[in-house]
Amino acid sequence: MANFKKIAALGLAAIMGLSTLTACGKGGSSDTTQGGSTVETKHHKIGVGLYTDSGKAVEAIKAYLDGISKTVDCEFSYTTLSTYDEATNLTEVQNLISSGCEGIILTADMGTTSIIKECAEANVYVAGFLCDFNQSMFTAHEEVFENEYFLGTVCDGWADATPYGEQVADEVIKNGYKSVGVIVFPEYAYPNQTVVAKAFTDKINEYNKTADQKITVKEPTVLNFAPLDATYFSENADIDCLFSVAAGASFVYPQMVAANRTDIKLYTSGFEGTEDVENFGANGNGAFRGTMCSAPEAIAYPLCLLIDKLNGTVYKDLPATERVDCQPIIILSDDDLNKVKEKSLYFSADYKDALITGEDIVNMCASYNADATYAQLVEKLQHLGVNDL
Amino acid sequence: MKKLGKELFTNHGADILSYGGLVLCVLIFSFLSEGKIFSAYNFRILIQAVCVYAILCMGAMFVYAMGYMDISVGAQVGVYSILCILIANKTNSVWLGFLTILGLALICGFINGYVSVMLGLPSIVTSIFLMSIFSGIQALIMEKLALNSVAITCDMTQYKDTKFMIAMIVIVAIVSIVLFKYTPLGEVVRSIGANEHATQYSGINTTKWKVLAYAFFGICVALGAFLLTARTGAAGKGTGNGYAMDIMVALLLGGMPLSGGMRSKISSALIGSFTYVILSNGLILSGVDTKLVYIIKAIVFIAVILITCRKKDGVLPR
Repeated sequence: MANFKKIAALGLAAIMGLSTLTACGKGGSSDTTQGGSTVETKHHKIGVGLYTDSGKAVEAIKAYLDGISKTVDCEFSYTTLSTYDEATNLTEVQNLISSGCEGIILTADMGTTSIIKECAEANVYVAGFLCDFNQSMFTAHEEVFENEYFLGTVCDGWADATPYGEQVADEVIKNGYKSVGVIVFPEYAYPNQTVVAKAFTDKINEYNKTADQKITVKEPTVLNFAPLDATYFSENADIDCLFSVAAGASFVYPQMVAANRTDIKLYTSGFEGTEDVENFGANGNGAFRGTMCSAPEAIAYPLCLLIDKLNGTVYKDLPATERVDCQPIIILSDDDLNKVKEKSLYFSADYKDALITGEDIVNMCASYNADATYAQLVEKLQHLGVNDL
Repeated sequence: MKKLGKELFTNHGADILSYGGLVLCVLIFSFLSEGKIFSAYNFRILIQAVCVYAILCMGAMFVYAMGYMDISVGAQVGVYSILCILIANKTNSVWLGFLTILGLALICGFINGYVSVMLGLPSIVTSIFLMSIFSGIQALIMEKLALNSVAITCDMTQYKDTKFMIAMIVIVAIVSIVLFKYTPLGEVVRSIGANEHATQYSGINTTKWKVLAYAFFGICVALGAFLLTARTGAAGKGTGNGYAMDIMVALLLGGMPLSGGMRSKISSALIGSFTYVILSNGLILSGVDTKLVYIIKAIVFIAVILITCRKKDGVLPR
């Protein structure tokens, strides 16, 4: 009997605990004010599959979606995707569909073919965010990009981030570094990183043609999604700068600290908002000199496409499904960092810092604004950089 | 009455808790998900998700019943899925792909069961060895293909049909129950789990039965990999990741004693797989924050372990 009581108590505690953790849904439509007039919006439930479950970017995305949720009349349900396991992603998407999501935003291109097939069967639309869907683009274009249930994607910054490679090269030349190491993830997984590394090397080689003091650029080291090997710094003892196109804050900086080589200046991509801020430029040990990330507000692109599709309206100028760029946040100086720290939603996770508001999104949807165009939506994504803060 | 209840709980406590846990999960989530858990779509995805776990768990029962464990299963599933796709794409025959991985799985079962005895190694050591080998092969194949994920070009729609998957679960369950309850194989593996030395001293050739147990597990792994491939239509570097741990958790949720032995039952595999999948599915359907999902799963896991596995004398149940 005592055991039964314990089990019953456990069961009741579980129900009470979970009840407090669950959110209540709603249906129907509501009104939102747009430029003085009132627009009747339709309620939708959108699933968001994020590539990770924590970190600065995730906090900011959730804060942003929470902030716009009432205005755009959308309820958001989150799940965490895997960047390497198709079965996990399919299960997560199925769970979102089962929970009533009418549209899904994906941030990882893994198992996309089966996901799109599943969504098509369930009449659920999919769009991408923070992902170039490179693999689907080149190996399953017909199944994904030509499927009517895939609406398009906005990349993590630029699909071709060559300009960032060139900007870092300019910084390296300007600051007079003499020997630079380059680190990338495997080309089969992130082909664009190799392109960025090449753009960097080409620009330095161009400079070397006329320079008195030439800059040495090491052959790119490939990181297999594991931290940089401890021997890297003894094998490349002469380097005074590192360009880790692969996530440097997580995979390279800790090894620099362990090897006592924080004198090396690090340019990378991705923004953790922790040690990379504390040690950027004039701060801390000053190891971090440059980084690049994407504004959470870029999620407006898949969101507008999904809302319109669910409302049965499309832009008059809507092209065939495509992937578009958004202006990345490029931090190359203390001023840039201070601006990001003080004014960006990415850093503050505060909706009031958003560059695209809920009203803007309603205004950019063809179903709520007959004058809205696809070109305007894409143009809006070009104003999410440091200079726009 | 009180005595009867106590006796019932002493003899069938693990069963009551495992079945009760499943019923409790269904009740809680049907309430919290506002009935979404019972929708036709959700039933289909639950079957799809349960199918692979259930088949792998039923195979694993024969290993866990001996008090052993196999941590190479995830890596094996990954390699088998990739190989199945590559062979099917090359030959346009899904069956050839399946037969190849079945052969490989049987060889690995032999290595796990026989080599460990020959070398006098604990079976966990050979499974670590296999896990390392298979993880390496998986990474090498994907690097050679220069792809993150490889998709199957043959049509596998019929194999991911809900009815087919239910039929597979039922067939494997029947075969497993027969082998486990009504043949010497089941009796010996449970006996090894209860006391291996006593089993050997009673004149039983334990090596032979170990190899057979691992061979059956191998068949289930190959079948699981095949059905996983049918479901996702693709495989890559991370396919199969986490399956070893998931199987262990599912078996424990199903009331499987950690040390194997005479109380091991095939029903643990089925109940545990359903509980594990419904738990994950129900939490999302109920709108629980993704961060909290892990914490809740961990709490449930610990609670089950404390209730089913802890004994007054501190010894794991046999």
